[in-house]
Amino acid sequence: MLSLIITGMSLGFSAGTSCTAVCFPILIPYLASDTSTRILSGLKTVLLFSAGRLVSYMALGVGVAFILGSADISPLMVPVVTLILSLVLVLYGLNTLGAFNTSQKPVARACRGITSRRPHFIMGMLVGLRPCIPLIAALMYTVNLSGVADVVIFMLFFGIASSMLIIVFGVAGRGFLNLLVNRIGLDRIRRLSGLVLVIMGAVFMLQAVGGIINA
Amino acid sequence: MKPAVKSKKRALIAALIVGSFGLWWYFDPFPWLGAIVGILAGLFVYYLLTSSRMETGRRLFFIGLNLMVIASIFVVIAQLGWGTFLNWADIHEKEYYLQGQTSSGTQSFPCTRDVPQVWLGKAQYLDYASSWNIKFPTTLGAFLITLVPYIAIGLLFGRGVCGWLCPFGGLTEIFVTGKKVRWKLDALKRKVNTKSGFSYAGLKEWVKDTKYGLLITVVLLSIFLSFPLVCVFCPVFWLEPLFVLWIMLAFIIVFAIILPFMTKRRWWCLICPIGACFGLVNRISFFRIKVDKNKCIKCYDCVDECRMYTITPETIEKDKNPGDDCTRCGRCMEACPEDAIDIYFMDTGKKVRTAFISLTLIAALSLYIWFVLIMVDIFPKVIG
Ligand code: SF4
Ligand code: SF4
Repeated sequence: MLSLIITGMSLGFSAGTSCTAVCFPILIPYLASDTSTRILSGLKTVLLFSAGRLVSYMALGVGVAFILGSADISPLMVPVVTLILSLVLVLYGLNTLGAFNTSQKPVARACRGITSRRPHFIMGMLVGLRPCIPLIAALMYTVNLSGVADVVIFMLFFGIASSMLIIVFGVAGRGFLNLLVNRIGLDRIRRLSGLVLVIMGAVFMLQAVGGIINA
Repeated sequence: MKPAVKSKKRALIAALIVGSFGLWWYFDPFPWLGAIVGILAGLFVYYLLTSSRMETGRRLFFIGLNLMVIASIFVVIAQLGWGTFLNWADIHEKEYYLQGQTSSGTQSFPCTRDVPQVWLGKAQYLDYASSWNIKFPTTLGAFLITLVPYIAIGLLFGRGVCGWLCPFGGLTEIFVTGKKVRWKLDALKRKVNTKSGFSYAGLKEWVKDTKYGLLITVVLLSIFLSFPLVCVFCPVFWLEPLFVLWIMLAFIIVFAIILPFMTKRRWWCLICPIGACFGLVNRISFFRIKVDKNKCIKCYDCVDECRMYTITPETIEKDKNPGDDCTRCGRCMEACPEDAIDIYFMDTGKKVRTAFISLTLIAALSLYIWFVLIMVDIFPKVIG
């Protein structure tokens, strides 16, 4: 058990920078789109986001080890998850920009309803379901583990260790954004974060469509 | 608009300096080209400085140079064939992560990672022509050699780069010529009525901020994915997968051709993230457009003429300078009946139109013709 935890954590720590690289472009504008500028609220967002990732990692681990029996995940999975993530980003960005605020059209009302709550946990889950290279290495390791509990523990500690940098950077990022708020104003920060979320979503959408075509 | 110089002697001196630069810059290895470039550049500077139609001259020059660049791209594709070109792009992308390669072979011009050489096109031409085999730098090195010249150019000209030097700006310029506005795009506008009764429709804030949104996205993606910023804008990266090329072409057609033609505004420049970078240093750049409040009669002719929505009634009424998007194109200067607008050295009262025009011409000469020579002469040999 201890060796499992240590292996999971070492892999997680070594994967930390590359995980941060994958999550940050999404997390930063997402944090910036928050109306609250409190560091604590930023910490809550990052923790929920990381919890979503953890759940995805554990589910992926169990799926890979016991359903597929190998780390050969369907080539369609990443682009499909990316497509869903991109839609969430675009909708959330549009909401931050106030695109649904005044319209009473049913679609706009539905979008307003969907995006009125901040889906930190779901966002983390979606990001976690897009396996990057370190995650695939961890999944390959789970194939050799014997029980569900082992897989869950391994992926849990892998996820926790790989989240450390994200949490630290996330909170630091919120602090930095607060500094920016004083210079350029909260409204502009929110407007910029909404734009970044929409554009980032569009970029991911392109990537997903490319992936689906190639698959 | 009054000419930039009062005495023809000053114009002659500036023409001699720029002309000599052109001669020297192209004389080796092409003496005939050096002579032609030197004479034409000198004559052109003289015209720009002594004429009251500086902006018209700028536009013709800018469009002409850019048509030359666009034509060179087609010449290269015609020489190589589309298949060979795509094949090269594919190899180039795959080998992209291998740092420290020689700059010939699959790594090739026009790569912005070679920025100092790109800017000084002559060095790059000679590099290929004489097989100097300059090593490609590391990612950090590439980032720095890209960043430093960009900052230097930005400090000097600010978004003047968009109005005088950038190929995309030149393409857009072709289509904003003329006055007939066919689309008003009211959904993207906010109306302002001045005290004097002038009604103005400027861009909404989120539209203006789109370029910064694009810039932040590109920076976040490139820094955190360890992917050099500038390569995102390289057309080679649009070729794989091929549908990205069609999307980018659609972007160019919509923002550099259709929207500018229908609205007579420079939409490509209004959303360009590289323009946004230059916009960030616009406020501290050496050459700035300013309105002389003592001469201004608040007729707002300049506001109507600005293709970047950056000189506004607020600018005039609150005695501010045009905003971060000013491309130093000079349209407002030419439109002003009172000669109240000019190019000044930073925040001083010193007019520096002569120096600005001479320096932009030198910058353009140092790049464009070499670019074309490399495209039609060297590139096919390296790739073919
Ligand atoms: S303010 Fe004048 S110089 Fe600047 S972009 Fe507008 S028209 Fe051109
Ligand atoms: S065109 Fe000249 S006089 Fe008229 S508002 Fe502009 S700066 Fe003032």
